[in-house]
Amino acid sequence: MSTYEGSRQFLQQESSDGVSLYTHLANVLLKVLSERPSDASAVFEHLSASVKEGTVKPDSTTPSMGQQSAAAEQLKWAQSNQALFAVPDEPPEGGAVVPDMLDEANMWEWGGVSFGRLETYRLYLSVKKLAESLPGEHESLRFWGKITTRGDDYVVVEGKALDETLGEFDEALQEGKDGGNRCTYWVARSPGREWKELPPVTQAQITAARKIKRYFTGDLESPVQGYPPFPGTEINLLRAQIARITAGACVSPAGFFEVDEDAEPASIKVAEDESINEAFPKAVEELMTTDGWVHHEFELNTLGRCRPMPEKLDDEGNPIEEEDPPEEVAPLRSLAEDSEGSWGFRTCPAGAGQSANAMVVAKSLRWPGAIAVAFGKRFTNVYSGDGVKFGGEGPFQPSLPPMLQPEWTPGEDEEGLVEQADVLVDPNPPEGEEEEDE
Amino acid sequence: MVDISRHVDFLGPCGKTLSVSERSGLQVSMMQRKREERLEGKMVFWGKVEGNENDYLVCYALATPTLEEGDFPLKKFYFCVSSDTSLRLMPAVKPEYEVLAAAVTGRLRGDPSLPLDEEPEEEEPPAGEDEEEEPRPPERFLEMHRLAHIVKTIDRAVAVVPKGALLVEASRKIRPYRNFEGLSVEAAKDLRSYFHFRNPESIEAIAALTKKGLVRDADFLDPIAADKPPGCWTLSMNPSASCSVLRSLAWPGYFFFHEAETGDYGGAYFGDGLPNTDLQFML
Repeated sequence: MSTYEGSRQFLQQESSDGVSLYTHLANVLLKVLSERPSDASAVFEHLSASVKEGTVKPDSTTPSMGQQSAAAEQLKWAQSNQALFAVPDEPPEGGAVVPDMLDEANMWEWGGVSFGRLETYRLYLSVKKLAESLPGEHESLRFWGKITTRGDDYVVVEGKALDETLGEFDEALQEGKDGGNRCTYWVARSPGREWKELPPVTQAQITAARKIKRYFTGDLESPVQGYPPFPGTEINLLRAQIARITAGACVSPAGFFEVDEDAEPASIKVAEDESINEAFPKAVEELMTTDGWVHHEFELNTLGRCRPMPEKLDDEGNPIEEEDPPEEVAPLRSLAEDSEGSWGFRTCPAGAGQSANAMVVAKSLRWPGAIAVAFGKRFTNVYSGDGVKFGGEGPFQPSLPPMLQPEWTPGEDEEGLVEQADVLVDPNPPEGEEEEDE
Repeated sequence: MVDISRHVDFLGPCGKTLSVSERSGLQVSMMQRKREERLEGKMVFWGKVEGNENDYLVCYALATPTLEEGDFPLKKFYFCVSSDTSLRLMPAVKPEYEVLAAAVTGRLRGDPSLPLDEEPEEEEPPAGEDEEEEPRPPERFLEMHRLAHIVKTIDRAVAVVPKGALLVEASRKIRPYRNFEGLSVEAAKDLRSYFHFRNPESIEAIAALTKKGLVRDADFLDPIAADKPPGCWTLSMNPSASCSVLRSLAWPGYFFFHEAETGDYGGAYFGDGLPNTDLQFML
């Protein structure tokens, strides 16, 4: 007995950290029995180490600063999202039309795009809230997509632009409702957080955005680095990239839209129900080629405009002919006119599950993340990417600074510059002369 | 690595997903491969490499290395195309193929048996030899070899594990820790809590493995925080601030998540298999 007692006494001796081996072993065994790992003997050293770490922790009941701030963030998220689920006392009246996002999300999922099912429902609630707060003249809102950034994401919703929001502007620098600013966009960081309306885009911003290649930082107010200098902050760059993606990758099967000849200038409108019913659903084979699809947004020309420049009048009131105006592109241009390898098509499901009425997904290879899904008499467009265009084969080359201006040289009948003869002035004229001048 | 039956909702922040047909097909094919080839490790989804005409789905199973292969768990890769989900073993990347693969640029087509090298000249079979034996056509460099090279390169560059998820056994074998309880929210927001899931390459990490006694994973793995250029990883939290979201900008399309205070973590690649060579301009 004395040897047992002696051994026990030895084991119970406290070491310098105040823990005896006896207590430590008991704690390790307790951990093994409470957690019951399947490989207890293999991880024994790690269990022992984690018990030791646990015992030296100062006071685990008071949460650290980091834990407190994390808890506060989570509570804030829960509270802001709880507001989305609140049932209004009276059904809201008016407002813009809420998109049928939940149904479309199913189509996106077939196309390989999903924001998570639960998150998509909260996005839907958030877009619905926005729609109810807007005037009905915005017509139907559309969930445009999500752009990932180096910080929080940008969730983007599209609606028809109003004259009031555009305000007054110079037609030569920016287009109005019949061109590049046909739509207004709202951006939010996540469902439950506030929506912010993006400012209208100018043509200079679009042409500058083409020359730079950058990831979004996630801060709408941050300046845009890079060369050439971008006119505006990230909020303007975001709007310019949205315009570029919309112009380049918003596509639909031919027949959904038609050119509205009555409007001045000619615009694109949704086709009559009758003709849609006649044309759709289309055969899968027809939609698996570029001929079956059209762009239903105007192309942005080299000046960053959808429409030609407004006519300039000279002093006598005669229109000035533009030098080398960009070629006008007819609306509803076919995808076959895009450069080779701009689009990829998939049936969903593919392979064994393919059927005559399968969905067809058109994936933009120029704007990775932009997809269009056609199914029966419906189609949907969505974007889920980082807002950067596919660079093609070669590396990105930032534009070079412009050439140095050449020195002025005289024309044929002009006289060249002649250096004046040096005029020598005595810096310290004798005092006597100065007095004479007076 | 993503468990396609449990982790699909975690992919939300990356904006990409597998369609129902792809998940359903992989579920079947993964089980078949695992049981037919008697794989000990679990089959997980690695990513989707998009081609112009078809997409590749890539999976792998962790295997215990043999004595010669070192201590780090090996990944045995399998691939299929998204229209036909029966998984095939990824071909080995021979050294001569690495040279060939590095020379090919541009997007993949989506056809595994597409030859990418120059057509070899037809050689007349030398007379007098056994004519009964069919002359074997010389092995060509195919798109599946390029895919294998791409997957290997990406996996080496971006596969991530959170701190504490791997452990070194007393026998010096490295393996996933089954009792991993997850990082705290505070640690999950710190880039230094994430490590490369690869055979360590830095001198410090290799030295730590040869040391006697208990080895912490912070010592024997390469930290991703040391990757160049600084800023090639972005770390943020999902809207509910409970799950960390890690994205690689050097290989756009790689996404990693870790639900803080749980053992759930995983990463997947959804991209075209091309590196971002313009990163310096984009940060």
